Amino acid sequence: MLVLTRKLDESIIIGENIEIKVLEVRGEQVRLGIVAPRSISVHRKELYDKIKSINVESVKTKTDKITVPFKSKEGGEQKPDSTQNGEHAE
Amino acid sequence: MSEVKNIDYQVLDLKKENIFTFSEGIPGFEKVQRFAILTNPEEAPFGRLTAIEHDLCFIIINPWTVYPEYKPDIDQEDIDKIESPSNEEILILAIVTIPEGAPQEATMNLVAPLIIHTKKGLGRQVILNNYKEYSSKYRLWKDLE
Repeated sequence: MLVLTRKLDESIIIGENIEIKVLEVRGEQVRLGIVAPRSISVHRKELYDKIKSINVESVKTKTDKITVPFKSKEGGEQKPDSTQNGEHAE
Repeated sequence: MSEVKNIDYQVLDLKKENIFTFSEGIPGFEKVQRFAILTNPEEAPFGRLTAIEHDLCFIIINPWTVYPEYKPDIDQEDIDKIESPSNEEILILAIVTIPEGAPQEATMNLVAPLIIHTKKGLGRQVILNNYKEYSSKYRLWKDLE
């Protein structure tokens, strides 16, 4: 890992068009400003990793059966106030 | 069955043959990029976001069927990345996690919904600007226990 020391208002540039600037340092927190092309997605890593692991946990195969609990009661849907059209009209 | 019926997906002419391209895949499945939405009345209120070229699918739900107060704040850049659908053209879905053997404990991810441009056939999973207000494991059936 490349390690660089930066001060407030200093930045680093990655490639030609990704810039990361130190905006604020307060106790244990550092605020960063990021300028990057739209095609680059920027995420808080721990949040991104969590979404990823939930996706992995959620994935099913095409033939996996899914069970809708409480199906027998009231058409099987938990109904808030919105109108539901859960049943299929042939 | 020639047409997949609306199961309150707030949408449109959602047909079985519609294919949606997620150009960045879905986190954890970056290489899986083409999906169709399939619905089966026996699985309502769930649908399936089913990969075209792979044997996998995600169970999906219209988050508002369970949580009408949901107010996702989606970053404009994310909306632009699917070519800026109008309110009528955007479909917002939550991925459902169903624990093995415990379907009554199913949850949906309100932190990172799927957004789909129904006309252009483009989709992505986004992390909300207001993600702190929501759970990534919101219990679907907790009120019914």
